[in-house]
Amino acid sequence: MSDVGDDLGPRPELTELLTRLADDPQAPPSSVSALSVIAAARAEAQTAATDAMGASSGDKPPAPPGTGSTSRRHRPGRRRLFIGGLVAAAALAAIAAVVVPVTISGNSSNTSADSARVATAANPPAAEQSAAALAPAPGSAGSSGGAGATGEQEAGGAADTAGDASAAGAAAGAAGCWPELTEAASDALLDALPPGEFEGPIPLTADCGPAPVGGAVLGGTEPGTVLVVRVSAAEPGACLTDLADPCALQSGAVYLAADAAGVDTAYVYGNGFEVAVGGWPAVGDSVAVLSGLTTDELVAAAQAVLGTLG
Amino acid sequence: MGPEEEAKFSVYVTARRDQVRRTAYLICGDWHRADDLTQIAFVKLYGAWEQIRDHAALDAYVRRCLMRVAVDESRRPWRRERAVEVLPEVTDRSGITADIATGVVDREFVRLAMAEVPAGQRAVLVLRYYEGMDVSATAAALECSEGNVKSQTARGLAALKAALARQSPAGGDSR
Repeated sequence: MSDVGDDLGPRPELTELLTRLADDPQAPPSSVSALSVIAAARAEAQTAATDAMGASSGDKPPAPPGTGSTSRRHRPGRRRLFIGGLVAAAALAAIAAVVVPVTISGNSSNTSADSARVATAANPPAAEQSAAALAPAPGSAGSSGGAGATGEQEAGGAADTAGDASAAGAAAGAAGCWPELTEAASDALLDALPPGEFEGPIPLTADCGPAPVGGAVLGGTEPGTVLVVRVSAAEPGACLTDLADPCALQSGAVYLAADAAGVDTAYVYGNGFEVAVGGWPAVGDSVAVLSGLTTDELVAAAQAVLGTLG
Repeated sequence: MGPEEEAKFSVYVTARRDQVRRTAYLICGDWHRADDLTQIAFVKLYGAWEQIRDHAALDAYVRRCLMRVAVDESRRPWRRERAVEVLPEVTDRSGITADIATGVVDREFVRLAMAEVPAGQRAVLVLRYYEGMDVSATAAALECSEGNVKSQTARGLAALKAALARQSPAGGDSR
């Protein structure tokens, strides 16, 4: 360290110092996991929704790469614009609430929104449909003042119902396609893996296969390793038809595949199932992650899972 | 975030967690705070995940989040570092070999020396000499100018040198 501070070039001795400091064998195990991060992010999103204005500027994340830059210089301007818009909208609403009912008081109800209200009173189930059909016409209803507001509320209620239904459908569609592994399969898998090299399995929610039976992701205790397990209903050799990374027959019902990034995957077949065990392949723009296991260990893990499937 | 993207995110976190945690530890000097910083950085990444088109830039984005959080945290009143007359938990350094460059290092010795370097300069040192980043990449990670990185590097190196010298067994003998 005799020359520390003399120039700004590479300093192997300082790098060595810092590396030794960071590679502390007595460091406690990390409490951070993908699940804890996702849970915290969801909780933070809920909090942010209820307290949108509470975040301090220092806690804001930087602009993501590949997106339009969110310069700090522009934020105050956008905030002023946003607040100005809110004030203008509130002023317009206040004027409309006072002036419009006065000017149209005494007029007969002959707008489409009023028709919807009348139809609702006469035949509620059918009226909901007609109100939904009338919903895209707030401009015409707006001219009727307070009566129009009622029509909009009814139409909006119908639209909300439809929205809830579509949201529920979307949520159902968004559910993970891989069911969790059975407890027996998880236990057999962990028993077959080198002890202490992987954490417990978490649900696999990506790369849906044609007939998913079960899936799991196991984070490796060795940095930068992960194990992905997928169980599908398939005939022996089904992996040969994989267009991206076709496997090759190893022996019997055991097949091996390796992608361009060197991620090995073992396929084992039996009882109408395919058990694939390996790292995380570089599919599309995702990051390839090795499993850190030998092919023999991958095959053993896959066979252990297959042994629990009837 | 959809399940497919969430799975990709999980794999990324699993793969990068330890490296990010080590960097955080070098900056804050405490493994539990390093966990906190790591968690916050990944939570911010989660929020921006679907806006990130270039997944090759994920590491840089996480690094920027981590640096911003670490420096912000160090400025909070309850985190602010205070100068004390006696260093806490000073270890017996009588057995430390004088030649640090050869790698015989007491981690606590280095950790205490790093703790004496101001937070901003410490972050620059970690990025430059642990992460191996050049001046421009460090400036991008810290969202400052390259000139600032250069000056902070020089000051940080000087501060670290002084801290190491103060804590050397010879008590200030510059090595």
